[in-house]
Amino acid sequence: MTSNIEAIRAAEAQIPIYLEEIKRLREEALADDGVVDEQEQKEIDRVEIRLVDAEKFIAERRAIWEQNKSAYEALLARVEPGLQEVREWTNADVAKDKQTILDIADAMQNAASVQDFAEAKKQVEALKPRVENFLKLTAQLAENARLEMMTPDELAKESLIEGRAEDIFTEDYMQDLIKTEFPTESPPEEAEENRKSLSKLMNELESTLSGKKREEAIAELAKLVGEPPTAADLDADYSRFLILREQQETIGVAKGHGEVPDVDEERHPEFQGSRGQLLFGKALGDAFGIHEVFGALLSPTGGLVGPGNDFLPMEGWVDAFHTAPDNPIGLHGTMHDAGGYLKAYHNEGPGYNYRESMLEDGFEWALGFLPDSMEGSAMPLVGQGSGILYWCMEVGPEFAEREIDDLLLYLEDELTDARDECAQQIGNLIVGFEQAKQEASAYASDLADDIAETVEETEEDLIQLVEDIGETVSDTVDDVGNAVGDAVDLVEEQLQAAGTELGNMADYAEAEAMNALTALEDAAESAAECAVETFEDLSDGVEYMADAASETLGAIGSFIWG
Amino acid sequence: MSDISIHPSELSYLFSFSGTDEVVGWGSSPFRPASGTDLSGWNGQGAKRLLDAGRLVPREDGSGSDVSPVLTAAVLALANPSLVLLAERKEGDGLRRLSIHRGDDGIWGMTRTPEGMFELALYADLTAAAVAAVGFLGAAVTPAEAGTRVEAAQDVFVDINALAKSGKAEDAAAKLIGLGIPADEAATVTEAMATPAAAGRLSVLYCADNKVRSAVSYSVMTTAARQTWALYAPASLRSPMVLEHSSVPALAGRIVVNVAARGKIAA
Repeated sequence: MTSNIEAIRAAEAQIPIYLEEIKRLREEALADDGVVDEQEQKEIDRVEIRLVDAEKFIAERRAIWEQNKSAYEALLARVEPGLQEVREWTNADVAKDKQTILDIADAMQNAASVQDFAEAKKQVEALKPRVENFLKLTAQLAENARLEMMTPDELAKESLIEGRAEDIFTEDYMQDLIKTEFPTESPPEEAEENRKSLSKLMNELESTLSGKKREEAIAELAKLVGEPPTAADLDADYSRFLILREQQETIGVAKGHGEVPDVDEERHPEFQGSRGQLLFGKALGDAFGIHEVFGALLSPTGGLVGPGNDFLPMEGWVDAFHTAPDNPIGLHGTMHDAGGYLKAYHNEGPGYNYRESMLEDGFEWALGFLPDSMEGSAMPLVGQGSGILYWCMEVGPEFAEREIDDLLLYLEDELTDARDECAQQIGNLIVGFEQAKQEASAYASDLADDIAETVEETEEDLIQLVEDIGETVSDTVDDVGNAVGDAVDLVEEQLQAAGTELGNMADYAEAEAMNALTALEDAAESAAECAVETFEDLSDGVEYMADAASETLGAIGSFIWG
Repeated sequence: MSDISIHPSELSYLFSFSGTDEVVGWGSSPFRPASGTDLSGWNGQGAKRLLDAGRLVPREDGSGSDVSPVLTAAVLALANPSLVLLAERKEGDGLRRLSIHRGDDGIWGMTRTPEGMFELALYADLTAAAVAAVGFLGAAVTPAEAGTRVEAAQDVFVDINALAKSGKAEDAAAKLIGLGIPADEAATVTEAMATPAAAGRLSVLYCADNKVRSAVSYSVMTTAARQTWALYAPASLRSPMVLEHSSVPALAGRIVVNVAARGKIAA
């Protein structure tokens, strides 16, 4: 294929030829009679057009060529140090990946040597992620080697999380997780066959493989889940998985959680390798920087949520009613389990508290009542919410309580005006509403009277008009009468529309106010209708409270039930 | 305003998917079968009810079933609330309960009927929810703003409450006057403590991990003449408690502003 630069050079070579030809044609035209006639000029124009096209072509291609060259050189400068590292690696485990990179580097250099920077740029773009991945892989291999040397106790103290465990529990992450398409799921007609193959492989990988068996299993996995990841990537992930499992066992025993159970394939023959299991595996895999298959193997029953998997008594109900793994309720369970697993077996992450999102939105109306000083850092103590956490973790609870008390008492005082203003607004909604409704009703009644009166007057005027016309133009009375009748209808229609619009506006205003009013009325009604619980029931609901919260409820409750 | 009337077995079935063992304010027992009944059968019953009601819809591709979006939002609010308003109204020695759970996709209230069904209701916003919670306790709708307010240590109010409940209203009133409450209002306080027409506890529970992390709780007492008093600790119990002349708007306003302020601090 002709490279950019070759095409440019070919075009450039044509320029003097065109110029020479134009010169020759002009000289020949003048030589016979001293004049360039129409035919001769046409000939000259034809060559001049070619010349202009060639110059335009050269300018455009030269600009693209320059852009490609700059982009290639900039990218190469970033890749070069890593590429040098790749060249220096001699580890047999990564020989295949290294050779692939070197082949691409050769192709890149060949293209650059003939100044085909479009091709060179393409190659360096392909090279960059491979080099980065290679370096990550080799770093992981080195890290794996370091971790493998540790005693179980040392390993238990090591954080094996990549990044922050909390990152996998964000709203954005979970939204992306739902959309994950696993390679084994497509094409759909092969999905079940792929799942079975993956399930078989996972069962093999679950027992610690080594040597030829390991090599074959990893190669098969690479084929099944596509590339990337390469077999070498998967092999490094497998090593890390084995390390993680060792940590899991040590911490699990120390914390009394025992061993992580395997999937009971007799009871759940379709779970291993399923989407539900892989979603859970991806959450753990992303936390630890390993492939989702190994994430799933860390806790094979993860994502196995709900009674459908465990014990629905009726034949056929499991399939019929099982909540889908990516249904929000099922996904909540999956992330809940992932959070719990990380905390229980690796001392990482937020535990079952995977969504510690505190009141981050939805309070615009109430926020409007807060004093302006709560914006930014003008208000003393505000903005130190995160500091509260620090106090609780770093210092004794008594000191933390005093600090938090100071903050809360400050707010109690500072927010008095805001509370009063808000209460006034609520009062207007629920107390003033009835009064407003009565006023609106009276107004609507007056309006209806006005409308009726106007219609009546209009009718009278028009009837009079008909009579007047009838006296003078008797033969057209009927026609005019019909027209007048239509006019009356139109006036009525317009007035009624105005009334309806007013009514709609009143309804809308009423609906706004009804939120609070309806809530109040319904609450009063339900208070009379709901079940009476025994006081002892309360303790059941209090069990899951922090101690201070429980103490507060107990103290306040004693004024009522004590 | 019941949007969803649902059997506990249905909730039990759905909670098993969301990994929910307890619901804040209710614990686990209301959703479990009576002792001696098999949990699997109970959940099977719940699944069948959900299917019959069209709340559980099998996917066409057979990859499972979807719960209706409205019920999904309600269950997730119950399973993982960021805030719960728990209104418990005294009824003899027992109580009637309304819990309001703020989830990612709405604010849902829950009560239980004498027949054991749960009634779920969606609130338009926090204001409506707070008004409902205070209204559930039978508080008066006036005055619009909080009125007389005094502060004292917890044990002072414990003494006053004990005096009022034991028939020593005059002694209790004297102590209240000593705190700065006008004499005519002091009488309504002692009446509210001793013989309330309606009384209960309203707790604002800040949650994470489906667990209550901190709480602000109000003792709400209303006399037959529609005078409502709220007793609460704005900070910890070691700090002063507050006795305040209150009402539905006053207490609801206090709650929404305080919740917003806490949200602002936490953000």
